[in-house]
Amino acid sequence: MPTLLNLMIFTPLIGALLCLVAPSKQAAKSIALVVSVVTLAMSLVLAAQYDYHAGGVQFESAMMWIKGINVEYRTGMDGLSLPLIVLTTALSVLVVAASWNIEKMTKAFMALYLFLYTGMLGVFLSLDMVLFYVFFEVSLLPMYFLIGIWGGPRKEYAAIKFFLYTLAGSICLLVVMLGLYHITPNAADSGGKPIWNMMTLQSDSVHALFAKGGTYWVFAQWAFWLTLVAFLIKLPAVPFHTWLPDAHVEAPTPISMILAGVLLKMGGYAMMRITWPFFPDSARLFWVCVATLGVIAIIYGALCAMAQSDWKKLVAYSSVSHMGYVTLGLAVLTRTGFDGAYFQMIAHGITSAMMFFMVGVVYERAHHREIDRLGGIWLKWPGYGGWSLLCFFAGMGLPGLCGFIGEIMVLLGTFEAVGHGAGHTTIVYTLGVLAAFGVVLTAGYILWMFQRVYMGLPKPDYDHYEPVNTREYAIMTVLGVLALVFGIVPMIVFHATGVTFNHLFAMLAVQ
Amino acid sequence: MPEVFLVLGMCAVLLVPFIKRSSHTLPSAAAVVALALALVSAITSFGVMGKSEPQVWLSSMLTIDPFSQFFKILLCLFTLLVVAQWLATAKDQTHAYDTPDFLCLILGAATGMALMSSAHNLLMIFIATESASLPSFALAGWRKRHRVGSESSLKYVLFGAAASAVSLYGMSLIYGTTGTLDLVGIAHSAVEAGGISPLMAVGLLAMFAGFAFKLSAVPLHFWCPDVFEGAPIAVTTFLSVASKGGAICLLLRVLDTFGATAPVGSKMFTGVGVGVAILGAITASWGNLVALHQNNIKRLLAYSSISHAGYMIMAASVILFAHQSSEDGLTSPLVAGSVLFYLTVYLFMNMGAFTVAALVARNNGSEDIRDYAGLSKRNIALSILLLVFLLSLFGMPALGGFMGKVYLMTTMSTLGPAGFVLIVVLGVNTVVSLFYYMKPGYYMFFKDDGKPRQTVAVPMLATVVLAVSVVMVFVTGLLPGAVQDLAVDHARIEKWPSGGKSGQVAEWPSVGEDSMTSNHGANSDLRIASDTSTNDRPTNTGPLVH
Repeated sequence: MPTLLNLMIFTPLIGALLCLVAPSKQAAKSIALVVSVVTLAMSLVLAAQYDYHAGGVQFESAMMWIKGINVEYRTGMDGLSLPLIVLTTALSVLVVAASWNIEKMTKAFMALYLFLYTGMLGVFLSLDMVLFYVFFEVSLLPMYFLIGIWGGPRKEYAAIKFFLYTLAGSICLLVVMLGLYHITPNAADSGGKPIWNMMTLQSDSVHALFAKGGTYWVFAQWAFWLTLVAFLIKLPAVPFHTWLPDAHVEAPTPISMILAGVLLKMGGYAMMRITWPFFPDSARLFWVCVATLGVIAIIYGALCAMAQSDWKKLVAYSSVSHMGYVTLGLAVLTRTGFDGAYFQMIAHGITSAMMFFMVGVVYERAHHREIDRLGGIWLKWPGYGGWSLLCFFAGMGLPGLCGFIGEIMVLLGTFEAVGHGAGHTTIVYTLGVLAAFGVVLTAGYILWMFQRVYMGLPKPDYDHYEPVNTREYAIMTVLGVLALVFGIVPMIVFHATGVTFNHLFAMLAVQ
Repeated sequence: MPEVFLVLGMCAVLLVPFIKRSSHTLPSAAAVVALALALVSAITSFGVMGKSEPQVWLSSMLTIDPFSQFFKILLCLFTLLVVAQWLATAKDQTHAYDTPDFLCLILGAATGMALMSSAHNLLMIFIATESASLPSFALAGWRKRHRVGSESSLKYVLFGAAASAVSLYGMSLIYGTTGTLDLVGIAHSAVEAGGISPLMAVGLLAMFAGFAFKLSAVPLHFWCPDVFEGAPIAVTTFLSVASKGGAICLLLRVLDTFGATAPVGSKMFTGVGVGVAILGAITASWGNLVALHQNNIKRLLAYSSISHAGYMIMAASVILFAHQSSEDGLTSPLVAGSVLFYLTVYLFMNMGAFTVAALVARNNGSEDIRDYAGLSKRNIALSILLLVFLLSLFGMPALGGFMGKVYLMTTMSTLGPAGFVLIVVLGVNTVVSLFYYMKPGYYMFFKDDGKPRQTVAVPMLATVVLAVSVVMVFVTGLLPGAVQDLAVDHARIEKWPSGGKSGQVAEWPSVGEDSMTSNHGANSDLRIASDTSTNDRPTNTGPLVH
């Protein structure tokens, strides 16, 4: 099984090389599709083989990589990565299907996409800090080109902005890693060597170094914020979010799907893998600040979304708002909040990808995304309108659809934080009420947008639009069914994460 | 001793035209053979060096230690690649009569740079620096009827002469205050005097100005972009790595000697270290900021090389504290090794980037980055290669440049809080540099101005150079362990107890003798008795192994 896991990481890379030498555009597309289907099958096999009762890291493999500084090639899967891996591989098939009509430099597109795919899988599956960093950073490059070559009018600007922002975050992470390089050899069971194994870095012996009042307490506080900034940029949270609307607006539809669906989750995943478990005492100290950042993102993102006249930009800002729930859920340090934040990532992976796809379907025909110039689309394409209704309602958080579970759990978790201590009651209620108000704002911008785009009579210039084709219906059906399934049986996710989170949360709980 | 072969090569290259005039092949072959022999000699001596004692040559003028031999291996390999690059890209623009001159100058400059890495005495430092500079001046003006080339060459000469003069003046002041030309002796007498006297401080400042000129450190960098633009690309490539490499080795040796001589815990030379660190930080930042505005690929790479020199200077400053710090991790071999590792990576990525630039310039007739528009359509392989080299220069993980920066940062971080300031400078600079390193990529992949241009032809030799470079960029990025082990564990800077005043003259071995492989014979005579002045040094006599 560890072999299968490693094979899964690098299958897309092999596919990327094959795409480059593919004889035709059609062949490149077929290779990409086959590779994504095969990878999906591999991830499902791994999910089936995973022992959910034991939890923890499974299918682990390790090999010494850079001996001098004790860096290993170490991969493995646990409850934290498993649902995200299945989400990534499943979305990947849909993304390839959604890029079927890309005619400009198809081979290069598919090769870059598959290269990105390896980067994403690597981020979620690596258990060594340095390896994680390499994948985290390497995945920037294909994204830069995917936006920069196949994007819209301001693609170059958007591409370099995305690259520079995320890179600035990576440098923060690198600084923390240098600190770890010097500090971790002092841990009790390190053997005098730096520790890079992410699981060992969460062990008690390392925590002792970073504990409140411990030898490296000041470093732990700095490191908490530096890693947090690195991942908040990726997530993105206000005030580091400004790259996202640009990147989304300029990116082609399939790339927006993968960007919102998976790449943003790297930020949330990394917070749950690194920032919180490595520096739990710092997290306990700063939880109010971080939670405030989350609430600001929820409210500010929703307000921005409401003000947009560009449909895709509206969806992009809705991502900022939705990711605010992830920050908030993690910050409040309650089990419900933690579970909610994780579920929110999975749910948002489905709904945001679907929302961007829905926008893309219209954009491809109308060649503009001005909300005011649209209207009456439901009557034009009733089937598409129906799926859109489900999709945007899922995004809005309608009960029974996947968006609801994450939001409600984060809100409940926030109120549970009252238990942290007497002094916090007012703060917790303020944060909770404001975050709950975000739900109202979300309903506001989504319903208002839905009304302007879908309701009313079709515009005359729709006449020459091609009908929505079977491929597009297939993609939205899959995503729609997933949104429904996760809304009705959220236990699929919690079943996978349960045991791992028990262990994880044991270190984070406020005593 | 690789220098011997380099000098022989110079003679051979000048003599072969008597056998056959107007030939590219013969002098090139002679140069390649000389370089190959020098490379083999450097490698064998490096291999032996791990087990044996270091040697002092010419009355402690030169120190032959693993550190210098490691650099000489790099230098010979690099010069070989430069000659190959030149043959591949510029041979057809050069008259065959000129080929021997060109090769002779390159070999001469390489000799000077090799000596720089071994120089252990102010006189030798001066001679080595000059013998590296003089051929470089001529090489910079190689394109005879090229206006920019002639102008830059003149600028280089004037600047260089002034820098040498200042440097020499500084050395005379140092000699005046300490009474010795030997580095250990100088450091020693400064320690005895209880610190650096104002006069000596001026002397040191002036001497470092000479190094800063060779390193193109700000504010003595003005020659660099002009010379890089005006010189043929092979010369630019050569100067960008070899000249800076020689100077950084020299700087490391001087700083290491000072650091090792001062008693543990002493703050005597802190000012020197801080000064060098600030110089490095300013150089790196200035180089990057100015690079943002460049539209000529050679000028862009010139400013990039200035900033890389800055990174290496910053790391080199740490070596001064290596002997005095109580931190476990900080040792002199670690600093020297990480700078050497960086130099190794820098060599290959710069070699690659310049080779692609040379090929494109030959094809486009222009070095403007905007003429890279649509290159990905004309030659996708070349575009991807250039992208890889530039990303490595920027520091993308999985490529050598990243590991190089990581090792530099690791070194700096051993210094504690001051080191973190250096790391932040390096980090911010890395982010800034991304912007201009992506500029050619932007034109190659995103822009196509539709002008008809020919496909870029890649000669066989250029393919070899590019292949070697790209493989090494990936090897150093993915498997840095091997090179790093060599650099840190073996490339020690050895110090020899001060022999400058003792006046013992070592015997020069006959040229035909392979001096490095037979360590038992003549070389035992070359060693200066190690019992002079060992007792009054509290720490670090002899080989430095912590």
